Amino acid sequence: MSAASYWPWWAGAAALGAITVGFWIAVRRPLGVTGVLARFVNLREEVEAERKDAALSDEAALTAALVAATRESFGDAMPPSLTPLPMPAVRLTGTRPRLAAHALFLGGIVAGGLASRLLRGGLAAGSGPGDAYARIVCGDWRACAVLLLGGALVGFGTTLAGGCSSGHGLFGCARLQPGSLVATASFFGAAVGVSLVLKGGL
Amino acid sequence: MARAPFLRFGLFGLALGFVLSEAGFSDYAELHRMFTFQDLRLLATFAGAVAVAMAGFALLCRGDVLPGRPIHRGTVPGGVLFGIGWALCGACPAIALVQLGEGRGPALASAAGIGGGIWAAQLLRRRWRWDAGSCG
Amino acid sequence: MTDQPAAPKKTCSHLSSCELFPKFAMKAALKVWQSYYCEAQFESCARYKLALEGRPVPQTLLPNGKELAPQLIPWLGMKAREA
Repeated sequence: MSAASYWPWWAGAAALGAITVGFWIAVRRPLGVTGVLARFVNLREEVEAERKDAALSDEAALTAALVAATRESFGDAMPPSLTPLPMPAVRLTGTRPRLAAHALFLGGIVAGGLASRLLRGGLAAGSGPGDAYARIVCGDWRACAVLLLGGALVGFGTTLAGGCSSGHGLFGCARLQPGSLVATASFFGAAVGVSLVLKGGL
Repeated sequence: MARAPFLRFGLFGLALGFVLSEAGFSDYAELHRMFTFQDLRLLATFAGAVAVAMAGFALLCRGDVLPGRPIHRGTVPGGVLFGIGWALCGACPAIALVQLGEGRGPALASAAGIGGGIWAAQLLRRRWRWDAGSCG
Repeated sequence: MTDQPAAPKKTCSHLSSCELFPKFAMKAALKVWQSYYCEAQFESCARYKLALEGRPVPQTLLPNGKELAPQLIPWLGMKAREA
């Protein structure tokens, strides 16, 4: 696919920006891929938590159960001071989505890539990162090793940082969240640094 | 969320994957050109997207509050490692998925690496607990 | 975008993302959880401890580590009428 046929910057910008905001409005969750992927890596615990949540999905039942548990744990004793904490400003983040919904999200991303290819007349099957990669990094089987290593760093780093280029880069920066701004600066800076080194030849 | 929002998640995933592919984010050469400032198109796309989102939030989501995302122990080290990996394999988690959809075989290696990296980081997080600002 | 106002004493930093906190804050009978954990010993809260490890926190986990659903489902019929 030639570089000339990619979308102009303003089209991509408008679309990605719209998706970022639209996603929040539609499902009340910050846009992000790493966290979603991480749930499936930790599948057993996620399934367990989802099972428990489903058992008490009825609001009234949950409240009633809480009241009962309160009596059981604290008896009828009330601590002397009960100054209420300020309620955090209206919590608009939705509860953790179902795993199935998140699976569809990830599947959708894959399908999106496929759709783009099909519309342009054919899969990129067999084409790797390309000749550029072979020139800049390495070719043949060693490329696979570097991809694995690079991927591991990506997975490790995004999980530690709590987000990736969509979670921190797009959503977090647009909301001016401090963690996201710093994370984005960090990963962008590192990527630029390594790329310049690779370009300049090791 | 009332009634399982499966359709919304699927559609937004589709849109995201499609746009990332059409914009050229899944092309290693394009990304490399962005990171070395040889071609500013992708950079402008990214920065422009943040600007559009910022405007969108200001116009449409006035008063919405999010749990804070503070800077924590993993923010900078995680970010740096992620950036290094991105420059090496040309994929962030979203892009790796797009590449798989495009049929790029080598993306399997990137994706496998990402999965392994996530797993390792989760193990680490359990040993070295820290507050990342929110619950689940 | 605004952050929640800073509370005068040391409180749990996860208040705005905790699924149980809004319930504690809303009902008088449940406020005891809030004063015991959220605004005091939040570091001993089982939910907080799970979150530190990056693990998913189920809605049914109480700050004292007990689970809501299994012990109480037979009670719900009675307690719902009382509450």
